[in-house]
Amino acid sequence: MKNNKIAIGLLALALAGCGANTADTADAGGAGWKPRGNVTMIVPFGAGGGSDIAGRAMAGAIEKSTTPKVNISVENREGGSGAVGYSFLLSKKGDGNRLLATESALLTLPAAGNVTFTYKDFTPIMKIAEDGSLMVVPKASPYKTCAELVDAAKKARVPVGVAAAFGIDNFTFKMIEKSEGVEFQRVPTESGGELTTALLGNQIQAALLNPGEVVGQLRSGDLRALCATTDKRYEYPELKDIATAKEQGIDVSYANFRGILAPGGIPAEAKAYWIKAAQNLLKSPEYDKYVKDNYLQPVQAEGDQFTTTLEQLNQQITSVK
Amino acid sequence: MKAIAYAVLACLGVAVFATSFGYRVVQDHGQVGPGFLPMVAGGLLAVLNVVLLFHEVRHRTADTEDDAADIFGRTGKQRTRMLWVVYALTLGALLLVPLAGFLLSLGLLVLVISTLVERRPIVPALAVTGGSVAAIYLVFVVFLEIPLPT
Amino acid sequence: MIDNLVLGFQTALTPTNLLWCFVGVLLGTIIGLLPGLGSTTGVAVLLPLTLTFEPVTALIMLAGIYYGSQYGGTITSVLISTPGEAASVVTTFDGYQMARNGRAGAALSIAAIGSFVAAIFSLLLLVVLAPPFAQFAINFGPPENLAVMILGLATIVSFSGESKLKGLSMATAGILLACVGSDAASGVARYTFGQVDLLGGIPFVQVMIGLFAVGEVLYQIKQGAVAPLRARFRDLMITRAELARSRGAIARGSVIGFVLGCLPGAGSTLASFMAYGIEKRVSKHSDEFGKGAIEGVASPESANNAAANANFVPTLALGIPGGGTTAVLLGAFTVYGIQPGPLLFKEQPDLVWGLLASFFIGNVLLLVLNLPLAPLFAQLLRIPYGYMYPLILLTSFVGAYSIDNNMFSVWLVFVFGVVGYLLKRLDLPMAPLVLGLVIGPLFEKALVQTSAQGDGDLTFIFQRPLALVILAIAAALIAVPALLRRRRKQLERVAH
Repeated sequence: MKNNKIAIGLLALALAGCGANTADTADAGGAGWKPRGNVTMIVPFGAGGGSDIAGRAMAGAIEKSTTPKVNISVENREGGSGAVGYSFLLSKKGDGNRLLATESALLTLPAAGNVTFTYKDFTPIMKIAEDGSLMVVPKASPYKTCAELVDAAKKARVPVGVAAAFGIDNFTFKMIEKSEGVEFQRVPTESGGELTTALLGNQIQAALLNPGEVVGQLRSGDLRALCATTDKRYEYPELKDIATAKEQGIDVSYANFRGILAPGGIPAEAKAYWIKAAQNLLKSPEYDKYVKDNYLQPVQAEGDQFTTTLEQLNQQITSVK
Repeated sequence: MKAIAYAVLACLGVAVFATSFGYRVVQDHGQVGPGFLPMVAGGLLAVLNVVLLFHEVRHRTADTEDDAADIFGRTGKQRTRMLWVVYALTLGALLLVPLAGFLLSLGLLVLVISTLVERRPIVPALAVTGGSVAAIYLVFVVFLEIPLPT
Repeated sequence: MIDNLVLGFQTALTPTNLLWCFVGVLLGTIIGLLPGLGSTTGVAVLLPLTLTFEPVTALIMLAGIYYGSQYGGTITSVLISTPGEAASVVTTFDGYQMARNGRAGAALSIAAIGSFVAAIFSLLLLVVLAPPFAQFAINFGPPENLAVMILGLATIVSFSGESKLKGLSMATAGILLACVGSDAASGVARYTFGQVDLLGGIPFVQVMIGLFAVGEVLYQIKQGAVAPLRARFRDLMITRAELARSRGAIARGSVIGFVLGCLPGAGSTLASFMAYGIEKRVSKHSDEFGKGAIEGVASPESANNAAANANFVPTLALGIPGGGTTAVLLGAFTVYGIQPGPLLFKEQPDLVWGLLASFFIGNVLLLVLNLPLAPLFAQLLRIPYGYMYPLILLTSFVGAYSIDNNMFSVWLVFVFGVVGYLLKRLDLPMAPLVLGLVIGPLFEKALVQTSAQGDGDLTFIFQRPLALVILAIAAALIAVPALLRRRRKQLERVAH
């Protein structure tokens, strides 16, 4: 058994991540178009973050579930809260060999007005999941609900942390501020990891974090979740007792999306090819594992449907910018 | 030479200091804004280099020009020329990348430098070039799967 | 405790885990050798290879890559002044000079020994004291981090040679370079001139390769060819006297590295710079620093290894990243279905202790690997420089490209190559420039956060006792030597 594992490992090493096994799925073809040569999955954020995990999981699952085999290499093009990666994709108009692991920066960057693109400049392929947020506070925090936190902000300045200048958590805070007529004091950080650190050290009073980022600290009791800013409660056993913001009388809900984006102006056949490949991805066991490990909601939208979703979310975001 | 460097850095500092105000030095509620650090650092750079410039002008230190011949009998001037030739060749090789590909252009650079600039015999130079390009191909392209432009 | 360690060694010593630990440290050494590819990229790139493994095996290998690369980065720093890792920049200052004096073998040996001692020291602390240290570390909020950055800048300025003004000027220039790009806090694009590639800022690794590797090549061409070293193998070994001289340096480096490594964000680069600065201060041979002092290799190498291990303190004890590479490793935990967090020690004892035990084994492997290799690697210097420098150029550019598969990185290396040459010709110190570039973003973040936390009031920092203590140390570092000098002069005058 152990020798077997070594053999598999060595094989994997020899093939340098080419992935030894190909699943027996149907031909992932839209009328003959096929990527030629190497395909890259661009991750507009650094290694180790949520986008990076998503990009690598999606690339791996497509490689495994598509025949004939495609090779997808993952490239981190980080910087400017995602602006570098998206702008790079923008410059690859019509190139069917490029994909990007997208999330809400696609909408928040244009809303902030520092970039030259909007979501309309790209070809949405597939929304593969939603990643909601929890309002998290330190163990010793006096607040028990999001409503109490908002009330406190009405009386005094409450310092909250935000992950990035154009992070979706910042926009969600703006939605809460607009809906409740309050203003939070912002402490800017650069990642969910930094926010967790700041919460543990009582440097900030609250932050919005994805469940996958804090579930360990929630279970140990070092941090507490006040509410989820999702439409419905989570179904995961660890999270199902967390009320939604709406239940607590704050009419805000927004869930970050994760998905695949292709450059604008790619051939229709290329779009069809990648949608088919993404459909196979959704059926793969890797996908189920990815969703479960990261506490995501498997809410999907395909091609033009994804575009419609983006339109709606964009309205929500531009209304508070 | 040094005086020029200090002057350039001082000008750079002034330019940064002046433009930093365009990025908002202070934000709402008195928080440090994106222009704050450029303002402070730009100002500091300007002041420091003006001081250094004055000091340099007053106690001019001679530029050290090492003119002794090296083991191949090359003089200081010849070596300075060599240095810029190598830099220009590198520029040429990098400009060639989109046309000839990464490994070919840089392999050519290694070959040209070792034979034409350094006057090494052609056969070992070819061997070194071939060997190193092959090694790099194996490590970067095959093992790490880095798509070098071809 | 002992039970746990026994359990850990039982896990780590199975043939499979031992094999992959070895593969990990070997791959790490290679990745550290390659300019540009640091441990963060290395771990991220090789992560997919381990998906079929047991979680503990995979993490053992990935962690091996991480600390293995700390050893590998040293080799090229010493031999050809090309730091493979950010944390080994400092090693070029004296390591490369030692190599030019024919002591490359000794420099590599002391680096391996120092790294090993520091690793074992920091691992013992990690095993015994991880939870309290982690608790201490999270008390470092923005004001404390700001104070640490100021302390870092104070050290570097205090050691930048004859002219503190020059050092300060270069550090400031580095901070200005770091301002280019999208500002982290507000997202405003600064000094990018509409270039998308500049939005992400001027990346440190590319600058470092340009300044040190390409810049040094150009400088050496200018200096002229010298006969290749013809040292006997025996002469390449480290001497007893050299070992004795390094003892204190290794001890101090280990402590500094461990403390800074525990703090999320400060990292091993700052640790290596500070260890070097402090060593230069306290060493009896401080005049030899920069000309090939063995302490100048021993202290930063010990510091960066201790820091690399200490990075695991917040990672394992609290589930928060201690640095760039541990952030990727935390991501890897999730990929294997393990939830990082404060409960990790309790819920996954075999995994945590197996991983910790593998650190001990991996470092022993690295020492065994590196000590005999040190004189061998030193033989590489026999290659005539006429072949060597074109090859350095080749690997520098390929390495730069591999960072983000972008020609922009290659051009950055090209441009900073000539900058490095000019700085060397003009006798302007590069170390403060590099540290300014590294610290710049961290410094600004701490500054912005402190002002945000104080709601617009920067004097908030004076309400934090811990920050005040650190600031006092920084002030002492700058003031005390000056006072001592004045006192000495007074005494001399009295004596006359």
